[in-house]
Amino acid sequence: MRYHYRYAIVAALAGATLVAACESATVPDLNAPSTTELAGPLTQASVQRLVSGLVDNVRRNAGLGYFYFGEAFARDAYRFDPSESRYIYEAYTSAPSRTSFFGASQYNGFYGTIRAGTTIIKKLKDTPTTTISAPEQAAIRGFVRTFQALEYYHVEEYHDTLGTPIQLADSSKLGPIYCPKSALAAISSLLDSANIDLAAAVAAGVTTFPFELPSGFVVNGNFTDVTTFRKTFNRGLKGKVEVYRGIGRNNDGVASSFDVAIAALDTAIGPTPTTMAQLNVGPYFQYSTAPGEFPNPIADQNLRINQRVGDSVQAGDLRASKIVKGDLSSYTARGFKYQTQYYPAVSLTTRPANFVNPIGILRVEELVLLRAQAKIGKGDLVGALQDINTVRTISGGLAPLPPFVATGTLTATQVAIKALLYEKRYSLLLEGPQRLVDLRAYKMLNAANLPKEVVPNPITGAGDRFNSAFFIPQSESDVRGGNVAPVCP
Amino acid sequence: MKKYRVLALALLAGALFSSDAYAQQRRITGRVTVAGTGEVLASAAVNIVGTAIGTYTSDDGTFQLLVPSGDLTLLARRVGFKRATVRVGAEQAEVNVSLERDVLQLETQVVTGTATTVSTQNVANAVTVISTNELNRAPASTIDNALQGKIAGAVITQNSGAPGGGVQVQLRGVTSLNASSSPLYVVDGVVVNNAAIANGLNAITGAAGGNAPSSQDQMVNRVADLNPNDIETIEVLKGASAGAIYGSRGSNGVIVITTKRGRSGKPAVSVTQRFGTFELANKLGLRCFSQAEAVALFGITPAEFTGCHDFEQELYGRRDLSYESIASISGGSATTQYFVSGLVKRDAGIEQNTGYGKQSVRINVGQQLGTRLNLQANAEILHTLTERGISGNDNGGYAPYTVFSQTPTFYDLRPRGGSYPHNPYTQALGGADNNPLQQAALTRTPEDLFRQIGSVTARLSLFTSDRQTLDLTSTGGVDHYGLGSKLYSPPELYYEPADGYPGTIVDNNTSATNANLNATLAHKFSMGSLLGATTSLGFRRNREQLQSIYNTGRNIPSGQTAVSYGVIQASGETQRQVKDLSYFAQEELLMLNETLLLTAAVNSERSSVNGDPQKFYSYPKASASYRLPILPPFTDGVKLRIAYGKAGNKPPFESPYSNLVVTFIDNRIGERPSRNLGNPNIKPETSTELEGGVDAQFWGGRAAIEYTRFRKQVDDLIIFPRLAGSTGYGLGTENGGQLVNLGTEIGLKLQPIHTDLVDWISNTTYSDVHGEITRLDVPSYLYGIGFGAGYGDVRIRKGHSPTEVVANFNGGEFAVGDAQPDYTMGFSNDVNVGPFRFASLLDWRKGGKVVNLTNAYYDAFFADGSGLLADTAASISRSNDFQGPRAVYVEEGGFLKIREIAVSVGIPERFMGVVGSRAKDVRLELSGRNLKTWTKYTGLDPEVSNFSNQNVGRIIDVTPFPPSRSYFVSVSAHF
Repeated sequence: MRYHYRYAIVAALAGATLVAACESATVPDLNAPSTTELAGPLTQASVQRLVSGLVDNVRRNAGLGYFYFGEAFARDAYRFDPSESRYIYEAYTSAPSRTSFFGASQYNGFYGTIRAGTTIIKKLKDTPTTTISAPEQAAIRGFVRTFQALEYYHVEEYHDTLGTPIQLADSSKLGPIYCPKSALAAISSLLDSANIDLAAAVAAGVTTFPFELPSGFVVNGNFTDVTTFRKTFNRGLKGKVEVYRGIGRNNDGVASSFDVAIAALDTAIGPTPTTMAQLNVGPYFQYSTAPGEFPNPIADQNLRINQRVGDSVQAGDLRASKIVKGDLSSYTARGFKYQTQYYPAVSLTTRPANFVNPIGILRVEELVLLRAQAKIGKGDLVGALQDINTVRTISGGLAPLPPFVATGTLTATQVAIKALLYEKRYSLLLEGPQRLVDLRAYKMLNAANLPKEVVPNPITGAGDRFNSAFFIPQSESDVRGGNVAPVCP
Repeated sequence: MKKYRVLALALLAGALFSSDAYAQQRRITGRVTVAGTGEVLASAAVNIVGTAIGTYTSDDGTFQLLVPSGDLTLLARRVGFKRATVRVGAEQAEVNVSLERDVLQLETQVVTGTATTVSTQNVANAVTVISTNELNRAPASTIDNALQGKIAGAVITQNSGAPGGGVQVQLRGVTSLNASSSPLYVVDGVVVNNAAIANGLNAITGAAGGNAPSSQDQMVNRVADLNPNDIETIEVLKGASAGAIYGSRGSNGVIVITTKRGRSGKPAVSVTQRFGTFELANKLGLRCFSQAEAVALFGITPAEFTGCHDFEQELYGRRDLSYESIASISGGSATTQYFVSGLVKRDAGIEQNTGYGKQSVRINVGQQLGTRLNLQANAEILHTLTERGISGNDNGGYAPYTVFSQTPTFYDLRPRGGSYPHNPYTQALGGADNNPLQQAALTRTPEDLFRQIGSVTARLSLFTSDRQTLDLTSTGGVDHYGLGSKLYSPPELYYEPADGYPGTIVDNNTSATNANLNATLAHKFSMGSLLGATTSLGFRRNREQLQSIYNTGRNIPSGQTAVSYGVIQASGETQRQVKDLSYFAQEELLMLNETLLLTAAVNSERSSVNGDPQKFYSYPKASASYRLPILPPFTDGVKLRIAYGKAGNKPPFESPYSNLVVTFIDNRIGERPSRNLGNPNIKPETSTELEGGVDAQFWGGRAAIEYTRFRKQVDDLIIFPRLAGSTGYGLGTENGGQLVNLGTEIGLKLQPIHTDLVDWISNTTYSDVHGEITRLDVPSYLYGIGFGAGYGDVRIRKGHSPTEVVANFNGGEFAVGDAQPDYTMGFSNDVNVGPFRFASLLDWRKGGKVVNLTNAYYDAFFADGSGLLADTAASISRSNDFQGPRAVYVEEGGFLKIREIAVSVGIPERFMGVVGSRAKDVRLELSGRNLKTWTKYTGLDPEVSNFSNQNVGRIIDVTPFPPSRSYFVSVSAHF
């Protein structure tokens, strides 16, 4: 009896041990879909999800930092955050940090989109044309590459002479870090390859993209239409890139780029716009406050417009409505005091519409002014005047400017650039770092052209610093062993 | 795997079928008493040395045993007393033993396996045992607070002064960079959950942006829930050499908690009532202005000047009544013992609407069924209510100390006529209009938790002879809690409308369950004083589940507290599930008249969080201790010990997986590959520890010293290296490094005075540990703890400490010190003079860097570099030096704290008799905690971590909740 009892115990223990060992040991990924979902060829449904994910990432990357930091460097905007002085300090007083949310930003997210795009393009190669036809695949490739180019350009805008890593062959490998000239050339060629794909798709009868796009693509113009997308967005962006290739940095402009830019922009703009609606044509980021969605990032109670921007708007300029005059707010960032009475109208949180207000990715209004820049670059001040006045009269509601002539110490070209910069500042206020890019390109981001914000500290010299670009972030620099000097192949 | 099972069965069979001849037997009886007083001792263990024969004394201290004929040695012992051995002659039938109190705790039993224990006299590891008296010397909010300063080798640091916990226990240095930083907590055999659940504060403060809960939510790690008063002992296994049996959860050390049990006898009732208060212990010191300065600097009219307000005192100056009521009853018969306890406590916070409350009930019941089966069922049900207010990092000016950095003290924030003044200063600065006094009055931050911890242990004696026993011990237990927090920031708060959505509610519901089952078969074999062998085999299954759901509502109608009224809503859920299985075997050999102990064990474990969930990883250990047979004069005993072992630390949940990020755009689902890479081959990191030491006792137990040196090497270090952003990747997951910690621990226990009138016991601990990353398979990287190297970050690089703090200044990056302290010391003293008792604990930490971002908020408000801190010279100096020549915000975080002081007096029983009470051992006590801090640190408290518990990133001070000290008056009595 006693021994049977013991056997039973031993058997039970052995049984429990065996049962324990047989229970499934695996726990699946509970909180997110695994990348194994991407195994196998693409389907219409997975293309839809991946394209939506890509477009959403482009939208999220163009966050508060994207719209604000460039405008801060260009001295158009402030962000007064009582808990974070670096919104001001890193823009106006110190060099941007390689490690902070400010100076190390405008980088990683863009490459996340580029990688997401490369994933789609790679997967397309494994996808039979019976599932997604070859022309549809071309349309998808063209769409994806255009956005990859946009994201590279966003990196370039913020990193300028400090370098933009580009690796078109395989974006997951460490690529060379390019100087502006080489970076813009690479982006331009990426846009061309997208253009070829998009044109081929249309030629083969694909008129609309084989996926649905968010409403931002149809608010002003129909950018679900492959041709519109190709002409206005792809060629428009091509024109933008070529303008800055033409102007160059440090006298390395490629003169022929102005012609390329004008040709691309002519395609993009089409007939000269005559209404504000036509100037507003372009793809937009659209926003929502629904759960899981992304609200407009510049609907932000802390944003301010530089006092000078508000004060120097010309009488009668309709664009003055973008700036609201309110109580004087003054902010102290590490001993330096900044103050202004102006608020961006799009930032007021008291206006619920601001949370869902779409922001143009690249509007015709900007394209027209870019064409003016190309014409100035070519010395065609008459043509430039025409484009400048198109925007000035329609968007600004102002009288057209007379022909540019030398005034005082300024050459006619300098007068034209000044006029152009006025229109760009007010037409594109808080729509991106365009003014930063222009001031840099025209070598005007300096004390000779911009009044001082604060009196520098007499001992340390700190304050009123003109920053023009972000460093390659420390994390990237660490991986590269500190070798982050850009090359110009 | 299979081979282990076969081996186990073979050993089991061998044990069962060997049989001993029954020797001729006789009966002896006896009594165990306390030396000196003659008081009888119930529940003392009585054993015949060299045999497995033993029993426990009954209520009247008596025992009887059937023993073999011939001369014997009888050993009697009980917790809290020194063991005694007595020779028993062949004809002797009655034996009386008296035991001396073990005031220095030189002899306790420590857990060395799952079901086996060994005396501290033999144990080969430096195991710290904390008794209930040491633990509860002065009331503490949480158990981890109560352990501060008491364990050599532990750095125990509070994350802020907010009530209700949030404390990190780090044993023997940093042992991981990216896997768990928490030791394993085991309560009566049940692995309890020590997760830290964010309450969603981020939705209000925007510390991390967006809606999602964040590590900046001032989290409480949930071991805080346990009731310290129920604890009989806490054993601290500091590393792999002691904790190997816990496998891939033992690398950070194991804290084994045993709760009180009943002892047979009349019902013993114990009651303690405490009343006290918490008060603000330290202030930053805000600047006062003269009227003329105020007019000049702030452009106010002279009439607007209202003097100098101490905002810190106004907001954190409450001294509301706190109380703690503790009662327990225990007793039982020879076969049934029970312990029932209750606790009701309320720690009133120093800020309005903050505080910590706990109610707990425990029932521990032991039942002997026949001679073979013993059952022990323990259950605790508890409720805690934690209200921590708003503090810490924020974006937009929500934390009070952020507001104080911009609001001059001549402005009166106090309510007038029931309404709070607006704050024009933060508003003008671009921030929200925030009056912290209004915030404290209107905001609610309750975190309600109901928790049940229960276990049943069955001990079945399968076989007993005078040379052998075979026991099966099985423990099954569950720890479950439901945590519901509801943060309510009503629309009436002045700052609420600023983001366009007046009113914010965050609802969090978290349900967490840990369940584990283990079974151990223990075989003891005794060959007299020559050899005692204990073999144990067993398995353990563990399952962890956690589900956390957050709902956020913004733009709330006035008066509504339901999240569903939010015009803007968001929700999120995280889930976690872990399944582990392990098998273990251990052999302990106690030889040569109990002077030599050899132990070898192996634990083999698989876990669902590993890349290969089916693969078993093995964690062996081996140790030896030897008590010298020949001793120098005045020496009672010298033990040499050496222990080696491996233990693991599992990869973080879901680290094998690379994810797709799911997003929503215009009512469509979007997916993109995450920038962070999982690793399908990830395996646990393994720490291999070698420790050695000497323990010695002198002068008849009046002095004892323990010296330990250890080397802990962590291989396959789990790291999340920073990948090149330009490749589209963010963080990797790798077993990519090696870390070595070298350290020393010294414990010195003294009883300098021991007379009938005066008894003084002194306990000093010292420990140091120095870590170095000895291998790193990826390029050196910044750990990235949040605010950039401009202020201070930690750089992970080969050949350097894993907690090396670096800062950027003068255009470069410089190493500026280590976050780990150089060494820590604890000084505890208990002096009894007649009925009076005086106890104190000092906690000293030398060195260790803290990044004081709070100062950065205050400095350079004015062009001269000064700000709103009273110490303007320091602000000016920091402001001028910020870009060089030094890292101005990285500060020395060393301190000396008076952790505990307790003064008590015993009321003589005579006196109680006079007043008609039968109460015994009535004591009146005055106690205090965290009474005084000496530190060079200029912030509120060098014990701070904005990101809660972190392996290496707990160095950031951002506008935290200030520290408090507490005083309590207690009366305790036994009936």
